[in-house]
Amino acid sequence: MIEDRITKDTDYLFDRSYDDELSDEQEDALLDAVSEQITKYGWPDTFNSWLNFLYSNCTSAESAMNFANLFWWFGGQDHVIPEPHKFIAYFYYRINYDTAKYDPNDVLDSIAITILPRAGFSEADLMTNTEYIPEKDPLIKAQVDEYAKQGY
Amino acid sequence: MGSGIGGNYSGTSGSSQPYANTYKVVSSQLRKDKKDRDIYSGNSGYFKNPTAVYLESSVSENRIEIEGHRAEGKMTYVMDKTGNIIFGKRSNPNNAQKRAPHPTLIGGKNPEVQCAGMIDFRKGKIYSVDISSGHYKPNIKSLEKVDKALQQLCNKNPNLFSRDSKWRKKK
Repeated sequence: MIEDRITKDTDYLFDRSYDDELSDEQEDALLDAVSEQITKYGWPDTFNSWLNFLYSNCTSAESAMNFANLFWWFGGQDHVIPEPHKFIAYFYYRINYDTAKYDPNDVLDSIAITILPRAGFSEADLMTNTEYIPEKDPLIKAQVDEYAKQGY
Repeated sequence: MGSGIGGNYSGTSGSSQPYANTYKVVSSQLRKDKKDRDIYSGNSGYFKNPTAVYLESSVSENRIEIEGHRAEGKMTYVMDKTGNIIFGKRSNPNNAQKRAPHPTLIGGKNPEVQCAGMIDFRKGKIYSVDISSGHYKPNIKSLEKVDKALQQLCNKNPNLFSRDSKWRKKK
């Protein structure tokens, strides 16, 4: 089954700690695995599989941020993300907007200022809006409220 | 997963300044910032971003670090008048609801830079740079200086760069 195989590949990529100390060879092997998954299944199916992993396995602030850091390292932001506000909002929901505690590198900010302009949302383009702040973006805040309402 | 010089650099309201050796903050941004006490003070000008560090002095065992963590994500950078690359986080220590713009990497009344934009780190390694700075709007040609400086750094220590970065591929 294709679905089983893509899930297994996704588990291999994300069922790990971002903080693991890996050798350069191990890191290269992981990045190769990301490229192979995208080549084999295409980005839309790959992203859906990553999203399933996120929703199913990353229900704490720490695990959600671990996913966000891996997502950035794996270059997920280089692709078009469907419903980008909903995707980013999931992390803010899980950490309750407490970026000082859970996001020391501002990775969520980085994801937002990358995937939103790529998806056509120019309000997050730093060339034209130097003060863009995802935590204050009404579209992201609305999605955070929606997660809460749905009892995620 | 391509990389290198790039970024969201198009459009009309975001268009660049004419090429120059150095750039001052664009006047419309400076006027706006002067009214914001969390960014600019009448006496000292732009505050100094406390996370700002020289790229070359933030190396720790083949990784770039910032505040004790592996650098990850996009951060602001400038190349100062003497050619140093300085980078830092966007978070504003004076107000969590605001960001620290590019001039705060140097601080002062109207700090001049040779180039400015965002630098992309992936697991502590340099991946790409661009010219996304609404405060300086540098000309794309100025990015060549940053490119050259990073190529020199890569020649000295390629392990500081992502294997998919253009500098590592060029080496």
